[in-house]
Amino acid sequence: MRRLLRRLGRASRGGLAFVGRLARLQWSLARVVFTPSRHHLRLIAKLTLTQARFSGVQAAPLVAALGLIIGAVSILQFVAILSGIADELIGKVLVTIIVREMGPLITAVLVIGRSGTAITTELGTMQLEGELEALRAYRIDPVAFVILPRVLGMVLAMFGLLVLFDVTGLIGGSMLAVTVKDLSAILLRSRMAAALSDADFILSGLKAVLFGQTIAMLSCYFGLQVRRSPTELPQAVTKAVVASLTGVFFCDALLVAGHYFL
Amino acid sequence: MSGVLLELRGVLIRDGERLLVGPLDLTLRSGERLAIFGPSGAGKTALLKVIAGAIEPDGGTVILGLALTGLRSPMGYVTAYGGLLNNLTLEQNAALPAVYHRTLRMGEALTEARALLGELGAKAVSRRPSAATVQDRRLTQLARASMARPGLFVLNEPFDDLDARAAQSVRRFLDRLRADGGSAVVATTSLKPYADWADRFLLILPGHAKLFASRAELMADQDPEVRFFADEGG
Repeated sequence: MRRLLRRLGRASRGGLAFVGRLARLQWSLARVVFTPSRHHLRLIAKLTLTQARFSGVQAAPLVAALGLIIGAVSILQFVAILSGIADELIGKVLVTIIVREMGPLITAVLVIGRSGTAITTELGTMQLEGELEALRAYRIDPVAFVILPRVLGMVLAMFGLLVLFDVTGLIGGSMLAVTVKDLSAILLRSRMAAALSDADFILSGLKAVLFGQTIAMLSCYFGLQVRRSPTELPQAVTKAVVASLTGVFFCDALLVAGHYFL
Repeated sequence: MSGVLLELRGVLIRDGERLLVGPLDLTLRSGERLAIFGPSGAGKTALLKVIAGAIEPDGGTVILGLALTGLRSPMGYVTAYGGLLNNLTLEQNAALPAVYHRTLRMGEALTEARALLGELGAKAVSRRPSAATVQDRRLTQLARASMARPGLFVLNEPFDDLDARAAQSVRRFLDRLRADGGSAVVATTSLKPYADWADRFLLILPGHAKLFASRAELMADQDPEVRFFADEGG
């Protein structure tokens, strides 16, 4: 019993320390965002666009292809289960599955796997190679110069990729519905438009910002935890992926619950 | 009396539970050149990082003098290994402090950095650090330190792993620094290149340190441990 309590205590202390360190990083980031130095803005904007290009533009073909496939597969499953019963619901089903849930989550998972891991590895390597130490010695704030552009770039990329996934998902689902169920494309489009509400756009925007920020912050945090040896890198990446997935699903649950209950 | 650049008060540096350096008191004045020497693993690099402001000490304080607090980038830091940003080319690395602190446009800073790198003898400056030679990387670090226009140069083993030509460039850099009355701290395992260059010497041994106010004082010390590292190092 005592051993169990000791373990619980240690785990809670570790969890609290993690939250504290993350909050401190978040606070440093907020301080940089709200007290920007004008002459650094151009440099930070340039680095942000580089990150957005890597995380967003370069991932666009993959996200578009997945959007088409998942949109089509979702309708295929729906038709297989409810064949002939609810053709008029296809528009609503597509909006619910793609825009409200699958779009943000699948895009987030892709971004974690592709860009979050890259950020953790990059920052971990920067730690090992003494790059961040050198920045500190030159009074170049690593939070402003390294972390802020990655967070902003990731949020921009997440937003763009989410829109792309939603659009291609709706197109993929519609194409399959039109082909298999012989539905009118115009009718289907008007049903999808009717199913989309302002809340969907607001919720999608919120998810893009929150997911992008969560993934970037956690990826940066675990990269910065690398201290001495390259063997710490894979451990940091694994922790970043697990924490990012948990963070994204937790934020998603909070937002959806907030939307339905408030 | 020249102004105080930097003051270390009771600085402690640990490696886990092991005490590496300290408590150490040290004052650096403007125009002074200090050579830190001693065996590998004694804490020279860690002390240099603390002086450069790259890491925090485990105890004590580092106080910058007025001559440094007024500067946007008070230190010109040269590491023994790594230290350059791998997502930038060598010339962009050299230009970075000027873009960040002197608000130069990247184009202007690059022109200045290229001229400086050419003067130092760096060759493939459009390469990224991972694809560059150790000579070019070290010369880029010296160029970056100069571009920052610092009040104090903090150099870790600047001659390590260099070929004869690059070593000559570093020598010229150090001699010019001395002729201009510049201030510097150098960490080294071999005292030979700094015997006539440095004003003061700090021997770092595991757990304790000993400061010498001049070369004459260092040469006069008959402690076998001091003699071993001073003489072995040239």
